[in-house]
Parts: sequence; C-alpha cells; structure tokens
Amino acid sequence: MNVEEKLSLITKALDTEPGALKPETKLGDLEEWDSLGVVSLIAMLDKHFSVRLHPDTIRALVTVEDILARMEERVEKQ
Amino acid sequence: MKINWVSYFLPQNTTTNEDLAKEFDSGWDSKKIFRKTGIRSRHIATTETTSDLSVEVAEKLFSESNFSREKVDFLLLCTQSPDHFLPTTACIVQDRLGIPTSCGSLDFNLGCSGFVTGLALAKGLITGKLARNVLLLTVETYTKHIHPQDRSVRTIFGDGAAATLITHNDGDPCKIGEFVFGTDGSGAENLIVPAGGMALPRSEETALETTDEQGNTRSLNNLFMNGPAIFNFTLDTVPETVRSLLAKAGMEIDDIDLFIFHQATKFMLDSLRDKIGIPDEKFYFNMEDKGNTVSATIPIALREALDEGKIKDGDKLMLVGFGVGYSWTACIVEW
Repeated sequence: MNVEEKLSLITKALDTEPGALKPETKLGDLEEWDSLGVVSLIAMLDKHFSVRLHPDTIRALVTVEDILARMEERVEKQ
Repeated sequence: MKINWVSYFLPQNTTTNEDLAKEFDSGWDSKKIFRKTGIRSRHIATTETTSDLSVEVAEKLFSESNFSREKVDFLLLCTQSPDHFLPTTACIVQDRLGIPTSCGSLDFNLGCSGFVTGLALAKGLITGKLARNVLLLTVETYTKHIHPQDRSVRTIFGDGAAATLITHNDGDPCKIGEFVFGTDGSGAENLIVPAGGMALPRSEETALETTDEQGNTRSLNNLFMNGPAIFNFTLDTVPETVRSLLAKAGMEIDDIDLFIFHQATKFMLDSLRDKIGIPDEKFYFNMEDKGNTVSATIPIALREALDEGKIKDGDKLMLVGFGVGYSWTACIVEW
C-alpha cells in the first residue's frame, strides 16, 4: 500500500476533506481530531493493519506522519 | 420460562442533531453527527425521574399485555440514575404501581450490560423456584449526569425505559438459554461520574468546570467517557464473548437468527459486526431516533424487531450487553 492509499484511509477515517491531509499535517490543527475521529482511526488500523492504538500511543501521535508510521508496522491482513 | 412481553417508553422532550449543531457551532453539522453516530435524535428526561419513567413503562406493559400486576412476584430495576441513594427506587416503584407487597424488589447498578444480566437474575430466581413472574425494568436518565457543553456524550446518549416480563408456568420449556459473563474493573475510570458517591461527595470543588482539548466542558459531577478506551475495550472483549457463548451453546453464527447488541453507536456496532463476521441481515440496528439509552437499548431494539416482524416463533436470538464497569454479559434466547 503506497502513501496515497494510506492517506486516503486516514482521510476516510477522520472524515476530512479529500486531499487536505499531508504527512506533515498537525493532528491538533484538525477539528476532526476529536474522540470520534480517534475511534474511527482505531477501527481503521485494527481492520486493515491489525494494529491496535492504545491511549498512550494516541497521546504520542502529533502529525499524520505518526499515523502513517503505525501503518507500516505490520503486513496488511488479507 | 420465557420472555412474555416487552414494552418501552421514551420521555417526550427530544434533542435533534440540528439542535446540537446550533448549540455547539463547532464545524459539526447535523449530517456529520448522523454519519458519525447513526443517531438523528434522542429523548431527554426533563422533570421525569427514574421512578416516573419506570411507572410509565410498567403501566404500558400491563396495559399492552393484559398481564395482571397482582401476579408479579419479583421486581428488578436496573439503573445508574436512581431517585435517591436510599430507599431503593424499585420499592418506590412497587408502591406506585400497586404491585402486591408480597413481591421482592431490588435495584441493581449496571449500565449497558444491565438488561442481559437482569435476564440472568430473573432466570436464577425462577429456576430456584423463588419467583414465577419477574418484572425487569431497565430505566436510565443518563442525560441528567451529562454537562450541557459536553458534545462527546450529548451526541450519543438519550434517556429511555424498558419493561420486560419473564414468566414461567409448570412444564414450560426454558427459552432463556446459556449465558456468558464478564467483569474488568480496571476500566472503571473510563466511563464514570467521579463525584457524588461516598468516595468523593459533591462539593464546590467537584463542581468546578474544566474544558478539555476538544472543547468539551464538564465537572467531576458529570459523566465522563473516554471514547477511544471504551472502543478498544469492546474490540477486545465482544468478539471473544460471542465466540465463547456460541461454543458453550454448541452453536455457530449461522444457527442464530438475529443478533441484538447493546446499541452503543452505529460506528461501534458496524466495527463489531465486521470483526465478528456476522451477516448484515442478521444484525439488528435501531437507535436512529433514540440514541444510546444504556440498559434500555436491547429490550427497546427487541420490541422494535418484533413489531417489524423480524423475529418469528422459535427463532434463536443472541443478546450482548457491554460497557461501563467494565461489565459484559451475553445470552441466547429462544423466541
């Protein structure tokens, strides 16, 4: 999965405008980065990457790049 | 032994997504709230207390079912918003309903797992020959715990009441089947009203309001929900609970005609359904005009599914409640 595809998954999860997210985008600047946005992100990472985001990890996420890094940790589940 | 009747009652006042979008003015329009939660509107108790809603819903059940209140010999009331610390709200309700004084009554404090756990208590009372006709009331006015400026929970929770009658006649087959229970109090702080009990009585200090980084305001007297932590809990717990109940009952997903889960949010239910692999047509969703009414969601959904003709005699249902505590309970019911 390339970066564009991953960004598209994050865009869908956070419900942001298409094309608005860049790796350097600060999550704190997004009004979509709220508890429901985080919940959607948890679901997306669980479903597509078998990665579980726990509260401590979530607090450490600063930019979109930090999410992309989590998406590289495992091979996507078929 | 069987579930003889289910009725529900919702307070008249409502809050729609349009109301919330107007109040919060924070980039969330009404469509976005619906997309995120699957909820358009919630019913809100204003002056009504838990005993008021309990009386309304029980009267509705007696009237719809023609079942005589004289025959109720145990009253179980599940709530986390009781009228008082004491006396027991169920006792007040017994008197207001005119149920015989020979009836046993108790409140039990559970949230989203309360209905299914209540069925287990009713089954235990009947199986132990301690009662024959149990009235299980699951009644919640959670919105009274919620700060008006806390969007994170105001979008989700609504108030509601359900009454379920469990009856037994000699020789009847037992249609309330296997159960699986679970408890993990390590998650207590993730869904909590911190102040107001004996550990932290309400004071000027507990009434101090703080605003979190997402702009939600609350005090220690209010409901707090750590949404991401609760979501992780359900992903960790619910699929395994469903699997272990199926194994205990010697069944497979295909053997269940309808799954009725606690109606938490549409997004959570979709995620769980997908993860467990339950076919869409076997998975019931009904919260669009009610929101999450805590322990009342499963019986309300059950009644709506019955009214829609989605449940036939002999159908096998799986009911799964999970949430605050953490606490979870699942069971199989034959209709």
